[in-house]
Amino acid sequence: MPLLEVQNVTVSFDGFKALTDLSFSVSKGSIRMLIGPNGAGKSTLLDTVIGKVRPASGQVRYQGQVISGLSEHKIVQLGICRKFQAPGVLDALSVRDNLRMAVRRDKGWLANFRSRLSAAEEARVDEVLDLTGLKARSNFPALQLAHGEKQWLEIGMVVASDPQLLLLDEPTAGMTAQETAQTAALIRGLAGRHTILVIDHDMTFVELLGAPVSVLHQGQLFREGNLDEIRADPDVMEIYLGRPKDMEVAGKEGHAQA
Amino acid sequence: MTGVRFNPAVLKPILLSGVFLLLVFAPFYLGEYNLSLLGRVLALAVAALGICVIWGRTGILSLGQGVFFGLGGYALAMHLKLVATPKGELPDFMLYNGLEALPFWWKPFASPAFAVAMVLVIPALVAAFIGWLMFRRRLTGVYVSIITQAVALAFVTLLIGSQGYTSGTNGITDFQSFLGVSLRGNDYEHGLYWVTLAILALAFVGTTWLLGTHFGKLLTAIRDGENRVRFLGYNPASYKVAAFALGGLLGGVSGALYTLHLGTVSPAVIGVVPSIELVVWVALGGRASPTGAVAGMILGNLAKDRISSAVPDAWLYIMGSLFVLVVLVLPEGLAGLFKRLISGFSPDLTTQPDMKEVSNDATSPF
Repeated sequence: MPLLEVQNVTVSFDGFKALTDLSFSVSKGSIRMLIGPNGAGKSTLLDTVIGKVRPASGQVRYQGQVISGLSEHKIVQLGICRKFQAPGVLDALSVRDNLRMAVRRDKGWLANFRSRLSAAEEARVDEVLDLTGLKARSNFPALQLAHGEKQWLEIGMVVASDPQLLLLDEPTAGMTAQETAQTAALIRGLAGRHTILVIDHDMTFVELLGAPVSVLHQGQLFREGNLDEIRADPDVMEIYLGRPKDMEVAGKEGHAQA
Repeated sequence: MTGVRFNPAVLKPILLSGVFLLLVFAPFYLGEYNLSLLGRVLALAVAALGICVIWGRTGILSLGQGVFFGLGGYALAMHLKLVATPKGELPDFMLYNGLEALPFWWKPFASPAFAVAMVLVIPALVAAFIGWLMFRRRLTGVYVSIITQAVALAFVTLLIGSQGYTSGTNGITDFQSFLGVSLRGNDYEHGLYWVTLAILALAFVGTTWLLGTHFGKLLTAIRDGENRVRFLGYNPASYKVAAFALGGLLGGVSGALYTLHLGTVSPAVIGVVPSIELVVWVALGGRASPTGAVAGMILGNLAKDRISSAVPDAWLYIMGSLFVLVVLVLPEGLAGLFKRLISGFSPDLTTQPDMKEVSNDATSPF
């Protein structure tokens, strides 16, 4: 049984279908890359899984259980955590406190009138500080981190919450080549313990991860395969770059309007 | 930077203890008028702590704190009125309004324990309910401010409209004693002042502790990134409701104390304008800091007393200008200014890191 199953999901925004009858699954312990041109529905797919967007039809199953319709925090408590595209760190809190927010198991307000978390939770915070190389920054407010560090901190937060399924939306956005390589190494190290679904545009990063690739196009699953197959596929080239004929037509229309 | 001799972290507790001692001994060096003014202002400072929690830390700007202030004030005033009314008779304003029997919901307030409990419970529950309605629907920002302001307006209208039960515009007055202690004389004035100071100190310590807990940090986290918190598996609405209820509770305590200081409670002290005034003073002091909020409330109200008696017509303009000035120049209020002055003496590494160092280290994280 796959860990995550998206079954015939359609999502529409005021009549515009962002996802059309999409079916898609991810098996446990794997890394899966999700690519596709702008507007293909990648982020919408993650929004649907995490409960931010409700499908008009179809359903999402996690460990066999239907999760579409649950509220976001309940879905997260089942073991799914997501990193958003723009770094979403908590500015006023220290790096350590950011991670403590994530690592805390008990999410209810009554349980949190305490200054220190459990010893196991504090130890996990230290582990993630080491893993992301942010130990030297642990007492800095997150606001003062460099952009790449913020991205790592947020990946760290997602990892610290110990989810089964990690959803990463463009984790290398705005990173230098070196930072991208480090991030790829970090994510590869997480495989096995976590199941990971990554969206990214950066082909070097996709290559570094070396994971199977799913291509989305116009809200549907377009191709699935390993990176070499996908790269060699003329149809994939076409949706990214456009068919030469289409470009010609578009060019003519442009002239006609001018 | 070698040999940091001056540690700014020590300065704040020293200053706070100094101010606290000055306040404790105030009855021995302040005149009657000034002492009663200071007592009233300290009572208001309890509400300022609530505003610090809900606005400064959680990011909810409530323009209706007067409602909770009023609920606390009226809960205690009902008891005081019943004590001051001879046995078997009705409170005077009920007689004037033609009531023949004490309304059933007035009756339990004859018990002081019940009244004091209601000072805490009613404002907290009402705040929790209003908060639940708003935050469950994920209302934020200006919508919350408008709704809370509308609630304040509705509450005052209700009080004025139900004259037979609440004494309307006149408010509830003519108190005589509380728990057998006469509400007159020097001893009472001093005692009430110290009780107020003790409650404020307790509320201050409690609030400061709370903001340092995981719960308190989550409030700040919700203010800065509600969605991030939600997608870490927390339900931000429940935290906001809890914070709002706490703000209501502190407002209620403040209102009850204020009623004792004033010897009366009426719609004039709890409507839209007083609600906004509370917020203005907290902004002046620094909304995210309990110390700032309390200092702002105390200094602002003392200034109000002096300036408005010297130049009554100019006061509103002065207050308005102060507010604009704070918003434009000092978004963190006096507390922010104080912090900047201190860090001018000795750069504090936890708040002002060397940015060059940050970018150098950032290259080898794994």
